[in-house]
Amino acid sequence: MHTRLEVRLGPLTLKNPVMPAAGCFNSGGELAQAFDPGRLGAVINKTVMPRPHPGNPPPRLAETPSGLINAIGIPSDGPEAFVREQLPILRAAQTTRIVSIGGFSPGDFAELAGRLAEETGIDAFELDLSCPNHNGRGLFALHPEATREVLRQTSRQAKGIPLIAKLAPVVTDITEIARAALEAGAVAVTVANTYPAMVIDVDRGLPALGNTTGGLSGPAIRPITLRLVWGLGQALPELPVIAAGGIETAADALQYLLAGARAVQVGTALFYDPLALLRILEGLEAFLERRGIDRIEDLIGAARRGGLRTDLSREGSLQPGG
Amino acid sequence: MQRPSPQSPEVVNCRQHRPSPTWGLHRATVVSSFPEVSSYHRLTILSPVIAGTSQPGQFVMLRTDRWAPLLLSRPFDVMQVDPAGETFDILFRVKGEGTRRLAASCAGDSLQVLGPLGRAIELASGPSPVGLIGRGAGIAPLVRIAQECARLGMQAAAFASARAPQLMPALAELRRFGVPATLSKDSGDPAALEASLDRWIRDNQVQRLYVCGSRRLARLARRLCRRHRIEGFGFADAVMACGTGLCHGCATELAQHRSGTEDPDPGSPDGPGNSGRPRARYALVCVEGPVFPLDALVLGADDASRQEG
Repeated sequence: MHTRLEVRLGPLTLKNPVMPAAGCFNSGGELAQAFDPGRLGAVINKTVMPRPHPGNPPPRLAETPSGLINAIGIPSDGPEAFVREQLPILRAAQTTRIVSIGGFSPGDFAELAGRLAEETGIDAFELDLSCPNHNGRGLFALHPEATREVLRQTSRQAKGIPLIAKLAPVVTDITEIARAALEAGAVAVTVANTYPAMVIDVDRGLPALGNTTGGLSGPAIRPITLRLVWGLGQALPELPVIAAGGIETAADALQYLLAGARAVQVGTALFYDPLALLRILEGLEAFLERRGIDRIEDLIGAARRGGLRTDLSREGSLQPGG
Repeated sequence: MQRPSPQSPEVVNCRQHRPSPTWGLHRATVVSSFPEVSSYHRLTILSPVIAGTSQPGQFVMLRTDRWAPLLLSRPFDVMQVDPAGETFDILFRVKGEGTRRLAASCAGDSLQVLGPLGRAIELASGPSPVGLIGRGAGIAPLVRIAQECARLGMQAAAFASARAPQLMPALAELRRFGVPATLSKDSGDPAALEASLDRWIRDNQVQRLYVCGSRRLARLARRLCRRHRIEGFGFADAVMACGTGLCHGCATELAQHRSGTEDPDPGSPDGPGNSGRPRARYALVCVEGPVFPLDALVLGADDASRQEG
């Protein structure tokens, strides 16, 4: 029964498909006072940068209808402070620990992965190839070749720790970039980061964000990211995908799983509901129970295989988007 | 969480504040919803946890039950608590969709409250009389300090600024807590304002200042604190998403990094070849504030309009 929610993600086995999105969870210490992060399918830190990095000037946030634009810019105290202060918190969670790393050159990622691979308790690296908040620097996932180069160099230094590539949503063909990541050593991709966006404060007549532009997240982007996941599943059916984009409820997570994602990340919702991850996890369990589905693996990609069996003798339904 | 370097004296000062107690996500009920002067609004909210455990300086994140397409809860300073009645009050200016919805809530309506959040002010161990300088809704958290001063038997005095005296909400609350309030009409003359603040500090023998609601007043207060060699603290303002330190959105720049001598980070946008300015460093208002020593805050040029009211 305890394996009902278990999902395979390349070489990794997650106890369930629900995890936070990098940058929205720190290392789990804050939310640990509300629930045990070890219940999650995985935990993931706020991206560590190869050198101390201050992040962007305020204002860093602008709310839009059903959305949030952030221009945080990945503040990080660098790898040594991460190992000292954050990794122990991540390690305390009895689940899969993914370490999110960033950088401004392929060498940055390789060096950082090499340094962190010396530490115990890291089950995978997620490479942030797609942060829109550095004015174009570090946006490797815009190009297949740049993506390939980061993966190639990093996989040589990562001492066998699996690599996950976090992709950018606004590209001509995300399939090409995912394929490049896969060929160069990624075991999975995260689809996707935030969408480049901005707001102008009409009162001041100036961009609302200190960084001028930022990245849009929240339920506003969910249908767009869902279609990216759908398209990838069509083009690269064997590619393990972690979906990230506007998930607030179990029904949202189910949409992504039905489209073919093997796991989901929850970000923005944690800002207004610290219990969102737990709610989604419990909602998935309840859905399986209600629909008589033995294993969550059975519904992954089901939307492209004829959907779910509708058994009218069972009570309840769950409307997508509800 | 981004941690400012421990050697900076301002941050050591911040650390004198008590760490935040455990926050929680609570259901709460509107007890009364009352429009005040101008576009201010006051809510009395039934929440045994916030009423019983929140400390001066702390805040809550609030939302109504039907909030979409709004996403983020809104931060509010606690104006006063009634532990016996299990209620707390907030005072805010209606200026956007979120505050409009909250102002439209009626007695009996249900709210979601996240809190208490932020670092509490350490009042009992510091010098007094305590001076409270506020403008507009910025008076709200000062009323909470006044309440605590009254409870502790500490002397306090308030200096309230507005365009017109009738635009100053919550003056009755200050009186109720026995705190004399000096009213200042905003004459637009900085020298006159500084002179009257200076006089107010001397007349009331203020030994410690808290300022909220105006950067211009905060800059003046900082200058006067230095002149009179007294402690000064300001409530930092920031656009905030989570209140719990997760999002790193409510960053405020710390003053000491403006003149820092450390090597600029070549990997940062502020590195060499950009402006030559030392790397900026930020504190998170939600978990390291919202109250900071005035000397630690970057209060900017005369852009007080952003924060006032």
